[in-house]
Amino acid sequence: MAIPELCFPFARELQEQHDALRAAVRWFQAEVEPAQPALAAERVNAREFLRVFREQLTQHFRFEELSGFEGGVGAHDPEIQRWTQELIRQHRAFEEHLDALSARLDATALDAGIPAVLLTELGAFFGALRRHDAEENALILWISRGPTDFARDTDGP
Amino acid sequence: MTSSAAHTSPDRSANQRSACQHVGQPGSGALRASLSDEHPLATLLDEHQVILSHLTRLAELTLAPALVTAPAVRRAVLEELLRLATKLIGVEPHHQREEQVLFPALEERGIHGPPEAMAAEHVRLRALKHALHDQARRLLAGGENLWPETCATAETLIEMLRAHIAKEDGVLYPLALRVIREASVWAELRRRCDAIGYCCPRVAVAADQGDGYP
Repeated sequence: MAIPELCFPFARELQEQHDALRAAVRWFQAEVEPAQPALAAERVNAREFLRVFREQLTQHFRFEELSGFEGGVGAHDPEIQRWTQELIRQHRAFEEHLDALSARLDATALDAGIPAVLLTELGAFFGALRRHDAEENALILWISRGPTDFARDTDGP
Repeated sequence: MTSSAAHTSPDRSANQRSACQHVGQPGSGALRASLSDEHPLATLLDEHQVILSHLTRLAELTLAPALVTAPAVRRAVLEELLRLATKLIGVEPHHQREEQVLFPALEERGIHGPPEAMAAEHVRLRALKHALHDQARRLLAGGENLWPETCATAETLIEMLRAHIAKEDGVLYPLALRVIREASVWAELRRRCDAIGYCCPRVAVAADQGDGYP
């Protein structure tokens, strides 16, 4: 059975950007987190990563909002509109949360490493972002393809 | 809207009922114990337990990446993932009974916010379940690089659906019991639920059993 792919440009671009964000987080988690967070150099690396990641995230959110969620994606459906407004609200919350985490990293002593609690909170932040992106991917799939009539499992749930 | 081949009148034995004990949601066990098996909310609560068991298995599959990297079990894992996604999509009659029977009954009594919030979550949950199904199908067709995305979808669905069930069990259903007090109304709601159908043979109750509403 042929499996249809997302076919409109916004969907393709969205998935590519989500992949890029995931790759950035993977890099951070592979290179910075397990290195030696107690070292001051790792704090500097982490701060630089968060600065670049914040820019990437902001550009990504604006793209989603202007090209997609506020640009007609699902505009015909009030349920979808409510959903996209919730996702946009989450964008603001993510930006504020990341700014707060960065500020706390800035506030650590220059010769200190990355506080363990902050690393844990960064991990939670990236996890929440991953789930947010998954929800957006599901939304776009839902809009682009519509609910598919899948065969029911004869055993029931 | 997803169509559903609903199971309308399966039998339920005591042994079958025991498979749906309320161990996953603190507080919902007491609520369930206060209801007769034929009560519409009892069926919804029982179905939640089945759904939660699916989510537990989904978490086991998607939080163990070694399962899909081992060639010997990869296909079996992906096939089970696809079956789970299908089963989760198959609980559509559960959502429909809420949206078409329970929520309107609450709204008739002036309660609008909670039903609207739950209905909005249904939309998001439907999309996530279908996305998971789509990704599982593509993985089975050879989409090697889809596993992280599939795990993220599963993780999101598990978190959102567990929270959704907790809200319904802990807030919405107790609220419904408080504002809908007439046994005759519950009996009528039950008849309308029967017309939509059930999604889990183990918990659906034969329509010809007595009312027995509290």
